[in-house]
Amino acid sequence: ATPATGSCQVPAAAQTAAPLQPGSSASLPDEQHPGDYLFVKKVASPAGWLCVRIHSAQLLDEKILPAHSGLRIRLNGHTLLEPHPPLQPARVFGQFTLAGYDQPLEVQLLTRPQNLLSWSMVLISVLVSTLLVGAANLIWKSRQQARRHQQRAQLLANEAQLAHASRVNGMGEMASGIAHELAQPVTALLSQSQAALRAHELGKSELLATALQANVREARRAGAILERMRGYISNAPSQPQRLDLPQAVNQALLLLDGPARQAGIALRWQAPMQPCWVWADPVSLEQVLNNLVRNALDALSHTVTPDANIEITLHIEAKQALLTVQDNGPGVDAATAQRMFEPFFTTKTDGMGLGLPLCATLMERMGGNLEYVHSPRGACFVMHLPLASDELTAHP
Amino acid sequence: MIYLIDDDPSVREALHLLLQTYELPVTCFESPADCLAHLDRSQPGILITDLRMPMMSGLQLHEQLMAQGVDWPTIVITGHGDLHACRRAFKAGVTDFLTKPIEEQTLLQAIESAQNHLSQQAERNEARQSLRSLTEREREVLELITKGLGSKEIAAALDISVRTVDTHRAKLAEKLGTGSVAEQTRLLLTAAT
Repeated sequence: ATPATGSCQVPAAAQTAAPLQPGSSASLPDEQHPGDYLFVKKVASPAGWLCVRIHSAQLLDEKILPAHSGLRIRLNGHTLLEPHPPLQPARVFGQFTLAGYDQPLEVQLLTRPQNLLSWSMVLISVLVSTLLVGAANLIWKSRQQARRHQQRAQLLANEAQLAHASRVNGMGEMASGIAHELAQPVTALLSQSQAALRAHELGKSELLATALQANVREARRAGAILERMRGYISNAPSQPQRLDLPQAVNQALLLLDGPARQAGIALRWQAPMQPCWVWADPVSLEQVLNNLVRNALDALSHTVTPDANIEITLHIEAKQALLTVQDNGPGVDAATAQRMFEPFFTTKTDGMGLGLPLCATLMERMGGNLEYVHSPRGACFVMHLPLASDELTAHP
Repeated sequence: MIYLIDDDPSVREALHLLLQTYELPVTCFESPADCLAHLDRSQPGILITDLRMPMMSGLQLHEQLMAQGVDWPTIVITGHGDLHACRRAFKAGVTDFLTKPIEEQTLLQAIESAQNHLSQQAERNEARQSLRSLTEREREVLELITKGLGSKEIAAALDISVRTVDTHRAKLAEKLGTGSVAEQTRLLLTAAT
């Protein structure tokens, strides 16, 4: 700023000062130097006025400012300095306060919006954001894929688990069955043999012969049980073959007679006189029948049923053999009937809920199916099996 | 006498034969119902019963017999050696619990301890029977005798004459079948078990 006193280098200053009260001041643009300002203050002593020229262009080195930018300076809400030439449209993008406690000069940096968003900037930001979006998309997709992989692995693991559980379940039931069935002949064998040894020591040969004969009989009985069990133990895949259904039922019931007798439940099966040829895997068939009859035995032994019985009947219907397992127990309620073929659904406290789903699967593999039929008498399951051919003989 | 209850004829026959070689008298029943119907209650013996049988289990049979006052030692045999059944059996007061197949020696030991149990039971019943025949006064005198008191002391304690005490003692000896203080004490203790 250059002080320019009295000597009226600046006529405009004198004009401005004339009406002012001593002590007050005014500012005006310097017409001789466009862009500069004059600051005029009337003083009382010595009478006159003081003029200060403000070289606004030099207030701040405008060369440091980018093109199309400018500064604005304000004091107490009055604008002291505007950019020259004026910026239109202008936007404040930075501001700070200068100077002392009583003259807070507010400095604003102005620029046109275009300056803030240069084409290169826009281009770069578009590029960067495209890249970012692309990368995010890639990451999301790979995560999605990983999750799908995980889900598939989980599904496979579940299936393996199911298969394992069903095997374990089967093994447990089988082990329990073997223990149950073999206990009697083995008990008889052991005691008879020890009796025979005693008879030998005592020289009682007639007792010896009795004991040995009994042993032969008991060993055969145990052997027959093992023969039945062997079918379960072998991992042979389902092999449907032409077999006589009544004969197969007879075989399967051999293992079930004992438990039924133990539980005091009548197991009724009247084998028809003629053979009935079906396509079925004997082991699967036996497993299904075993499962259904054991379920019925469980149901009947948990309730007091007069004349508790399980009836197995055979019918022929539309090129299918229908083997029905009917008990006179409490039956199955509607909610259970709807879900009982689902894996892991069970109403037994010690069950795994795999028996019926396994039975259904086995029946389907043989080209048949397993169906639950509502019956007023109790629970009723029907096994459907395809007849072997037209060579089937007539049936009741 | 050994009473054997098992629904499996082979097991019945085998155990019967084995016990016969040890000259143990055996009576077989094919079911708990058969046993309940035909058991000779006047012939105390050892019951050997299978656990799982149609219609009625071995434990139910044991409980029914106990309810009828037949508290003879009972050995339960089972093909299912499950802990749960075993615990329940002992809770119901059976003497032994054996799993099939049964080892000869295990069976014989079980029978032997059941026989001891039975003879103790018989002795106790006999002791109780003879004590029941005593009058109240005789019982008082007996109790003082077993505490080691002599006739004079007993007379003083009960405030009766020595002669009367002696009369009671003679009656006691007659009823209990022994005049020995040691024997009388044993009898009193046996009855209390």
